[in-house]
Amino acid sequence: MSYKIAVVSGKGGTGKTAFSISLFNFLRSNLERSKVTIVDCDVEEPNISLFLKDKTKFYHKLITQDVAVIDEERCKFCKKCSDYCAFNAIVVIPRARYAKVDSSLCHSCGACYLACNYDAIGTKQYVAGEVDGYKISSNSYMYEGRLKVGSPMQTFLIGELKKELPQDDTITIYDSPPGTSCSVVETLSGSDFVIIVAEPTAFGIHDMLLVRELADNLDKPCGIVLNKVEDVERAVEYIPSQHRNDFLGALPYSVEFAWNYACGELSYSNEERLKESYFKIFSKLFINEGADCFKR
Amino acid sequence: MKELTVLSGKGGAGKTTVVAALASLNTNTILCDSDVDSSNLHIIANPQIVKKEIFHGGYKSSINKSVCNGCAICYEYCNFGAIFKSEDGKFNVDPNRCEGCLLCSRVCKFNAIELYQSNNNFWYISRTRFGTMVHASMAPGEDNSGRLVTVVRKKAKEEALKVNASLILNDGPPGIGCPVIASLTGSDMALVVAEPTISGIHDAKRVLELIRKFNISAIAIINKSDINQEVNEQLKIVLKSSGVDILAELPYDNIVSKAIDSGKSVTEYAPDSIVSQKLLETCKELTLLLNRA
Repeated sequence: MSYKIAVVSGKGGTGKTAFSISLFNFLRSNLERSKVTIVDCDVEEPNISLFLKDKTKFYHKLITQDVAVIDEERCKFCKKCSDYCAFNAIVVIPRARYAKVDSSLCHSCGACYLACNYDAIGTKQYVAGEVDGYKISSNSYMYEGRLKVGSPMQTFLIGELKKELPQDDTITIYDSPPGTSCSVVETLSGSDFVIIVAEPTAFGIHDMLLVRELADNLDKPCGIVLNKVEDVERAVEYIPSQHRNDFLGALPYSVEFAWNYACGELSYSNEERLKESYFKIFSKLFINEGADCFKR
Repeated sequence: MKELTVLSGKGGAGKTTVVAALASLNTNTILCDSDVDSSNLHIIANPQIVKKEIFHGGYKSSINKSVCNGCAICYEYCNFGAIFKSEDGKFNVDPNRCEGCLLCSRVCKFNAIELYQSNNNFWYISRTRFGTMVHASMAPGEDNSGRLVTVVRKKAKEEALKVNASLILNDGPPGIGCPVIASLTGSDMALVVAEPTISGIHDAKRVLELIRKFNISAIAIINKSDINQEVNEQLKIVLKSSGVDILAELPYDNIVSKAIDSGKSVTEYAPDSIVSQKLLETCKELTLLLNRA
């Protein structure tokens, strides 16, 4: 069976990636008979590969976007294409015999192509980014999207990244970009369960509520994890009462973990408190909550 | 008048903390929150809204089922996979996938496509104890955040001209994608808040590459500089070799989150803390740098 979990936060830096990788490591070591895949959907700033050092690249693809281009030899400068363009990407100045598409505004929708009566519109491929696939162990994989610096097509790239994923029986973790806009919607699309990793600060709770609303709008069941908490026992009090049913657990703030994280180590084996908190969350997620992927 | 855009690449590095501190230390400043889809600056600035305007962004399509005859031409033309066939043989639009290109409405021969605009996005001009603030709110899941950023920045510039402000402090979004590009283009200077972690270094490099592409000069503040000294040295080497001056190294202090929780900037909440003292020096240095920019 396949089961997809999206890890989101709203606010950046709450610990999405660290949580996603810890979940990935837990699943791949406890579910030896299942295939587990982690996907870095934060294509603007993909970080998972920094933490998974033992990996073999087996897949690479350049992701391009077909941007419209105008052939000024054929163009009659009638402006119909710029009227059709909903994104103000086309500038036509008949007197100067000038017609150009701004590639950074073009959405590749094809409206200008339909508009043109003179066969003057073609396409040119622009690189939006790349997708890489890595084998991590006999049963686990990592995929990463990496936006080309300067490209505004992050949401398009996330969609293309998902098309490259193998469509077979696997447990998949989508590590989301921060925020609550279209790139997060694209990440959540197709997921079965959403985990919100939030920080117990005014900023963190504010953004957690926004992303909770988004998950609701998309009809996704949700769980909330609080990270970097001083008093784990009382962490639930940070969550507004109407959302406390979603609470999966809290992770304590640890200076040692922060030091390790800084140099790319996500180990918490020497940290009993953290280890215990993680285990509680994973058990609640998969046993008590009955998220379907453990029921096999 | 100068515009300083604060970015970080990686989220949670401390952009808003730095912006709020600089806002409380500077006078004659306009605040601009370009992180429109999960904005936080208002939590500290506590804005009193003076003007509220709706931001429509683009259109979305929907299909009038009583007119649709199921010919599928819209489905064939849509490049975004936003149109799907429903059980009754007619077609539907997934609003989360629709990009508002209107192509379906142009190819439909039965006028079955109706267009509507989102009424859930707003921009505001507000009074705060730091001066005028221009900000926005987006309903979760909305697109066009880049266009809204452009509107917010334009309004901030108009407000700055009205009161002859010397500085626009622009709190940018995380990442390097479309809303970041919209918050950066045409700024006088970019301030990168970086964190000494390997992901912080990776993300800072990418945002600096973006800033360079737009020929904007960059300076940096290192936040939480003491969480790992070794990695901090690596970060400093990366910044210096990119020609980026480091204005300050702020140590980790949970007084920063306490300040946030009490709705104050760290310089208001704990003016004698090391973090606040360093931010005060930074603020003076920034003023000199911006005057030269």
